[in-house]
Amino acid sequence: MKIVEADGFEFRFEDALDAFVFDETDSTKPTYHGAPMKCVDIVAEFKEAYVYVELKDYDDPSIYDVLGATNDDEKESRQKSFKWLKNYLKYKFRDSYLYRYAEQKVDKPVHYVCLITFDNALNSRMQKSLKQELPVGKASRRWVKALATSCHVVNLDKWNENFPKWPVTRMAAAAAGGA
Amino acid sequence: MIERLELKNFTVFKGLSITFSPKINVIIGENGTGKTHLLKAAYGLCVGESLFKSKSDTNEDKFKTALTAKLLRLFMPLDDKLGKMHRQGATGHAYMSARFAQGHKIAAAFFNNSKALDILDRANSEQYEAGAVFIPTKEVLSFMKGFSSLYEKYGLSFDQTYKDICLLLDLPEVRPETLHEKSKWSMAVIEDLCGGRFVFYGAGKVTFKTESAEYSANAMAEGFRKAGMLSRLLETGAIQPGVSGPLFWDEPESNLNPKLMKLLVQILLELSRNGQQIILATHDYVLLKWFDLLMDKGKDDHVRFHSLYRDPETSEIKVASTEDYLKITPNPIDEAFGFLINQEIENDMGGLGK
Repeated sequence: MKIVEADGFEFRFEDALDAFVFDETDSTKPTYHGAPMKCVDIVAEFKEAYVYVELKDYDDPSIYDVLGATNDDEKESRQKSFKWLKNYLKYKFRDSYLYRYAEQKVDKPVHYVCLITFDNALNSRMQKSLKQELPVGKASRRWVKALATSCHVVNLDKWNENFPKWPVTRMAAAAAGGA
Repeated sequence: MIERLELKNFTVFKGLSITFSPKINVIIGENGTGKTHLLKAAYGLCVGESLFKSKSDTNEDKFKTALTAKLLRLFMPLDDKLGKMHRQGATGHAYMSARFAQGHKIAAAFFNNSKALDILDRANSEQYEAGAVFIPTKEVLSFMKGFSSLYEKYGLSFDQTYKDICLLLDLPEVRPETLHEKSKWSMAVIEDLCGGRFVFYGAGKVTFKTESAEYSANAMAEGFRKAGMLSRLLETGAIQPGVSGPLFWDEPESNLNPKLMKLLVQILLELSRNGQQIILATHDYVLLKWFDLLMDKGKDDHVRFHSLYRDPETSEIKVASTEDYLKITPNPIDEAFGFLINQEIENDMGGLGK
């Protein structure tokens, strides 16, 4: 069991070989990141795969909802927000992959799971865009391996439903439950 | 305006109370959780003046006969028997009551062998004048010619909401000067989007007219016909913000394109701002989300989402109501997207994390 705390959430990876805060800023820790690159929040290693986890806890997901914009200005600003978040998630993955390449730790399939507090509909939209741009799978005929094997965008409920061996809780809730 | 509806042992409901917003109510729920039954029960109880109009007096017997007949025609139970609307397996009586603004109330009950309803309460119901409107799932412009007379003569498999809406659509237009300004605005934006307007000649004859030509209503897109129904109901004053009773609308989204969907929500919000109560049932994410996104609390908008669901332990139909879109629980519409997410994870990640 590997327990990782990041951005107000606690993850318990029951079957992980390793799991740690990837964007570690504490230079005294062996997992200190220390490179001028973007990075996902958590990397977990399992027997058959690596899983990169990125977290975003939003209060107001409606600012990202492009389809629901009521006028052109609003649409533009939402498109910017949506695009911003998509790029943010995209470049975090790519830089993290590169970093892990330099560590010689890209020897298994890499799955990217973003935990974002949107509804399922909006998460589906984000996932579709992100999948195209990461990209998932072999994007070129010349590639012999994929960067990302898969990409998923889920909220807290969906995470816990799909990954029962990796339960996640909000830290405040975890503290209250433990008290 | 209907404030509260209570149903006990009625069709699928063991015991359900719902408190309506005076403005917009959006009812969601999986198939079989009673959305349409709830709309029809509320609509059926929005009676009073409309029942008495065709009656010589308001005595108890006539009231109960008329209300029983109305419910039978709305729900079309097996063998036309009132008792078939009694919840299967229930031992107590079936009970339905509605409370309206200004103290009107109707409560009625029946058993599984009752021939007619027992009216338990109808406080001030004869003064209840605001006529309710029920727009059923299917548009009617394509078949309303001759429909009303056929309906009276033959046992058509359409419930009374279809007959009622055809009658309202065939009413004459109210004088333009008496139309509410928001009704005029709504009619204009619908005409603009459809590129013309539906013209009603009486006896159910409807055509679609543009600046240069006239077409059969059947030649028009179904979504336009639906928008045309709303426009016509405003034109006849059947829907008159601040005056008419609740507007019930079962699945307004069917056959509407996304552009029409947004316009529809804008119109409904505008009507509600001017005193029109709206109660609709939907399966559609886009419609649901438009309400969430277009509502403006600065304009005193109020949208209450009611989620009907089957309690996993007792199998009873229950309702959870909230004003916060993100707190709609359960939300089968969003869960439909969730199922897709689950399947993709299973396809891509197999047994990882499981």
